[in-house]
Amino acid sequence: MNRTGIAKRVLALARRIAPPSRETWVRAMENEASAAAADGAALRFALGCLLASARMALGTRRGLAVAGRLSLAVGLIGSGVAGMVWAVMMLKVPLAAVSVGLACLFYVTGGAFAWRSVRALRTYAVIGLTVAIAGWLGAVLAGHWSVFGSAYLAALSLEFGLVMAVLFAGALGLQGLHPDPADA
Amino acid sequence: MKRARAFSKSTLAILRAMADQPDAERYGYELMKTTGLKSGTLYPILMRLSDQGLLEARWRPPAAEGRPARHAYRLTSAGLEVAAKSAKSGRSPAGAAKRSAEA
Repeated sequence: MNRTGIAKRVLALARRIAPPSRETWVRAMENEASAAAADGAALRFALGCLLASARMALGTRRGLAVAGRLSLAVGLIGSGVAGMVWAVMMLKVPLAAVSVGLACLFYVTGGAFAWRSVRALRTYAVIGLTVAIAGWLGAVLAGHWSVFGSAYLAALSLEFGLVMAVLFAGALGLQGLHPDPADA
Repeated sequence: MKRARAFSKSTLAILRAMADQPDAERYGYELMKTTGLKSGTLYPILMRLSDQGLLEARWRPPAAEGRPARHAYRLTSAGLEVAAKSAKSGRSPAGAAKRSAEA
């Protein structure tokens, strides 16, 4: 794909993320891209339009909600992985135990909070179940038969604490943001 | 009480560029070249100026067949007033813009 083709894709993405209330401005940017293309600056112009659309989206309630959910999802996954590494390295908790705890937490909290659409929830559920089963099988094969043993509880409580901290921080962050009522 | 925010350097650059030829309609890409701003900076500012009533935007028919219509911009009288004030003082508070728009 050449630069003009990439620029068209980038502009299409910019249109997708821009709020509907800014339709006129999105069209203005798209149409102006042909002037930039004549100067060989189509891609640079399109990337700027993408940034402008992202800024527009962040100024709306809908955009903030998406950004909030994405941050939450990244925070959940990041803190879960950090907790997992810490538990395995510092507390000598079996990796399989941490995997089960992590999978359960992703399945319950991640699926519910990070993404609300039904389709994404189904995907999350399938991934969560798969990881949980794989983790449980791993635990069984590794000889850790007791699912509610102290190692599992230690891993679970550790991850639970981290996830709650991220949720709390996310809630505080969303509370502090001021979306544009016109785009609500 | 809400604090009056100063215009950014980029906003002032756009206001001054447009105030140089107050009657001329300017296009986005042309303004980018005049001010040296990137599209990601220019368009959010144009939108904000339009929302504040300092800029008027209208569609202009294509210059040649097969080319798209273009969005053209011009400062309103309130916008010109703010641009003149900012030229005098360097960085004018946005509160002055609001007052000019209401006058």
